Amino acid sequence: MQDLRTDSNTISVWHIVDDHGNKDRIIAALAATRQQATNFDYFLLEEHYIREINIRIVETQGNSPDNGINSWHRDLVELSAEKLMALAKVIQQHAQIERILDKDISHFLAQAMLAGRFDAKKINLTSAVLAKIIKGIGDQQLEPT
Amino acid sequence: MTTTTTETNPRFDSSARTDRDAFAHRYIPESSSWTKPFPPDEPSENATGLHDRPPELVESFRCLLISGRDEIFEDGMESEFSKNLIDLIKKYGNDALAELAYFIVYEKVSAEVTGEALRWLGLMDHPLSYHWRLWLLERSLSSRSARIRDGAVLGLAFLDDPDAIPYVRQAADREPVKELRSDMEQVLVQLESGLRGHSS
Repeated sequence: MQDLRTDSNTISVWHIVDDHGNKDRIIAALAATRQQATNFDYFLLEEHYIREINIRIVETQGNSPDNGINSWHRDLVELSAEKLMALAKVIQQHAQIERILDKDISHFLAQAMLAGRFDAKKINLTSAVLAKIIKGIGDQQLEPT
Repeated sequence: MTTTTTETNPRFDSSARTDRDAFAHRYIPESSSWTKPFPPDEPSENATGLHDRPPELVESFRCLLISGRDEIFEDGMESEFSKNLIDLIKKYGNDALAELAYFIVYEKVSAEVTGEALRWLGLMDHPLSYHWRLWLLERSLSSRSARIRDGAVLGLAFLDDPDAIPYVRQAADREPVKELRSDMEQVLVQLESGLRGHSS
């Protein structure tokens, strides 16, 4: 329950396509809104479980640094305490909980930066973290092929 | 060649690596009035012994840990708690780590706050306190609280030191929570890949 924090009775989530082709890109964009490139914990839950407990899913534009993914943003709206409890229960029973460690997150961030996918104004990473990622990119490019 | 070692770190007190509880009881007595010195071969940025610790340190930690209970922590985000913790460690060095170890080892603070402290012990950049931070993270893998064990394994993932491999492996072998065991195994893979990188 502690991790299900609502804002105006709404929880922000992201739609992952069936082949998970957009997942790493979404994770990279969300990781860039943090200060540190640390572990990223998330859960995957089939949409029908959410609909079965009468939670309304609304398509809303995301505000991530990667404009290419913001259309995959969704809000779970009008969440009462009862619905929130029901959501916690289906997550516990049916969700796939996953963790990406900091080293892989740094790699995702480096890839996104190399591809020029981020709006710099929306990145929150500290300058020290950015410098480390940029150094990592430089080292990678210097490696003999 | 890939090698895995359980060899003790010569910079560390050997008893710490073989009998962790004995180490804790020797160096972390159940009292905040510490009188015993750090292991002599431990790096310490302060020339003074523990008995000369600044008197405000104990109080600073008490305030820090109490105020931490009211904070909501988010992965990857600094908190007032984490900023103050890092400031204390940078100011007081290993004395601060010893004080923190007392609160953590004897579970005088909530699992939530301890977990946050452990994650930042792994994230912070402070070479002088490195070995004490590594020890405290490894020691915390044996905590009764799953939240604390999770904070410890994340802290060790951030440190990315292959010396922690035997401790993480033991922790994974005895971990009763399936998801946490899987997280520990994930960290083991990362640490072992670092070992391969070093030995190649």
